[in-house]
Amino acid sequence: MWELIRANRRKSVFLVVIMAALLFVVGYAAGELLIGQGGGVIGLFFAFAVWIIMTLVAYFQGRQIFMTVSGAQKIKKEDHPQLWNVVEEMVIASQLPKIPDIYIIDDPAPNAFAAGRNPANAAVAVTTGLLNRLKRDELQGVIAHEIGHVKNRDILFMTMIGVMLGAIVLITDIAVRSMFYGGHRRRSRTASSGGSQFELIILVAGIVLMILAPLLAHLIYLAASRKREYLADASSAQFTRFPEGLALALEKIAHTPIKMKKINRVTAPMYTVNPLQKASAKAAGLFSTHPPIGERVKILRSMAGGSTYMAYNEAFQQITGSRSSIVPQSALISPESRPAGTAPPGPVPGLRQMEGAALLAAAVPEPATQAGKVRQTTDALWKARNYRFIHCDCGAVLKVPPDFKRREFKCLRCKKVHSA
Amino acid sequence: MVVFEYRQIELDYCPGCFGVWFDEGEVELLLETAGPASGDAVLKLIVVTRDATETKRRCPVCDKPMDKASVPGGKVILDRCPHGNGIWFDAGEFAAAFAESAGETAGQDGTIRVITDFLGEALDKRHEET
Amino acid sequence: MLGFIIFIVIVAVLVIWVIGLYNTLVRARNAVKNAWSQIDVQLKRRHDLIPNLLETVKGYMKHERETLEAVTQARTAAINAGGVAETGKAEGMLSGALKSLFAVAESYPDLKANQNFLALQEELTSTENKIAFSRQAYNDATMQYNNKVQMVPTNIIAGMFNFKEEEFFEIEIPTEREVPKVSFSE
Repeated sequence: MWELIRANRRKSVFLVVIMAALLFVVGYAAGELLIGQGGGVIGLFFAFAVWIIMTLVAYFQGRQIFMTVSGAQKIKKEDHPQLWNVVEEMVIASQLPKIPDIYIIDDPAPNAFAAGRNPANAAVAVTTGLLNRLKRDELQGVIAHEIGHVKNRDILFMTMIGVMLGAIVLITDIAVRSMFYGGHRRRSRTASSGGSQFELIILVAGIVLMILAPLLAHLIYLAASRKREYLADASSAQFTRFPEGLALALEKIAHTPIKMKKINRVTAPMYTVNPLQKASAKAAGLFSTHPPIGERVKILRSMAGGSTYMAYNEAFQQITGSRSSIVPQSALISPESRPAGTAPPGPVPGLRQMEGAALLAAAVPEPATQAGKVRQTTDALWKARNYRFIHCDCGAVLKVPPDFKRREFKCLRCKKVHSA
Repeated sequence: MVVFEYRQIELDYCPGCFGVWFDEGEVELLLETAGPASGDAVLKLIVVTRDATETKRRCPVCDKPMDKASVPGGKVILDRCPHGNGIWFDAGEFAAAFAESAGETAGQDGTIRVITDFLGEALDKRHEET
Repeated sequence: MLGFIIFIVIVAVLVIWVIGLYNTLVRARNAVKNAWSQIDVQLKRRHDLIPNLLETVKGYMKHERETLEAVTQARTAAINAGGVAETGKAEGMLSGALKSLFAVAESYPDLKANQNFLALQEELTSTENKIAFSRQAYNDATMQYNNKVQMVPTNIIAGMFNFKEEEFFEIEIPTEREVPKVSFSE
């Protein structure tokens, strides 16, 4: 696990450096184009300032902004014990230092995401649609995927790189706009009077850069995002020792036609399944944040050699035909790489192997009917919003908002009066 | 709005105006639990009427103006969300709508009967106006 | 003079590298210890939950004295057990006793409708899962650590500072593997 995080960090630093270089080049070029000779330094400074401010906001307020934008409601253990327990189980399996904050989003489309800058400050959010549709096993697969994001430090990285993408887009946008409104004219006048060919080349190169830079930044961002989705799937299999759980959940999510309500392009890459992408999309285009679901399911299903990172990696290479590793080499320990004379580790006994798969979710009580499951979910939302529950003798339940002024409630069914 | 749950189905109830909101998702749940999975959403069975003169209400979920509608054979005008979010009953419309339709449509439409039975039982229509 | 500075730099880099390796070993070993203590936390939690469960169930299951007593006895034995092997066996017995209690509970519809019982059942079965997952995490951490102890270059440091391999958690009751697959299709 440590190898994984460290190798991840090394790669992340590399990508961040590339993005930063791109950002500064864009800043410099924008300055040169707009202000003229010597303006590059000002542009550079401006790009740096934009980046720093956006990064600070994302680092300290990112999670809060994220949760507010998606309308997530923080819950306590009593609100939805099952969800809480599933998260806690995965925290134990992944050896995270702390249980992340758990949120529910009132949205019929099934999905989930993780947020927060580090494992100590992490949060996972699931939609009501997800809770209503998935069985415990499947929910566990999804939660393990999100915990995988937390564990692999994906969130901080994707936020940082996303911020840089945003800064690059912002600066090129400003540059291109202001060139259209006047900047360009002033520039061409000096070019014609000075007549230097060199200056013209710089101008053209700058414009080309302005067009290409955001595109390039976007591609880096998306490629990094897709790779991390695979890695989180691998983590899910490793933590649950049951790849089928996530596979089933992904299929259910893919076959649900409902679209999420509060989604935009910024938050989309954070979800388990890209909420903006069509489920039918077969290929992972250059412009998708997530790999195609069908492929992810296929990889999970063909993990023949157990539930380890190595098994996932083999399945990944077999299905995609790619030679690249999803998991860094150092985390893939094969018996051959061990010094002579030491025993091969063999399969590490996991939960499923130790206790028998049936013991797990089968024993955990689940509501028998769909209505019961939906009630469990909505009740979690009511409780999280501090509604008061009044149980009437006739079998009905009244759920009263906390800011409700009346002190007495009449049961709609048997007309019995309850006082709060 | 106070939430009212009976037999694991929720209704939203306004204690001020005695109106009731029946969410589409809850209607589907009710049909599922009741058994006859006709598949067809009940909202389609409630026919939109154009000659209603009541002022239009807004849907509490999507905030769009709602259609006026009625149960087949019924005289009461309900409010139905055009995007399929649910149905709104004004005070007393519940009792009226289903007192008449329970008699007339009995036996002819399973879906509606499941709902009328449930609503009748859940809200005990004899006392609703009080 | 220059040669001396280069020598100092090389030595400094080496020392930092060795410290780094040493620290990864310590971190891996702490992860193992931490995972082990997590198992104890979950076992303790299960012991604490059982009296509540028995209290709730008592009123409903009047004719199941034996089942209830088996749970009580298994719990006492598990609490008093000492040593890894004995603890493992006693906890295995307790798991079995709880499983048969919940199996018997299936035939009491009133009990199954009891909110308190349902909450406890969720809590206890989840604790059971947590015990299993903490064992799994312990094994994962142990494998990480053992790999480091065995593999170049950390094995050199491990040899110097006496880092020894840890043992995997083995299954105490082999029959547990043969639990029939219960279908819970909708």
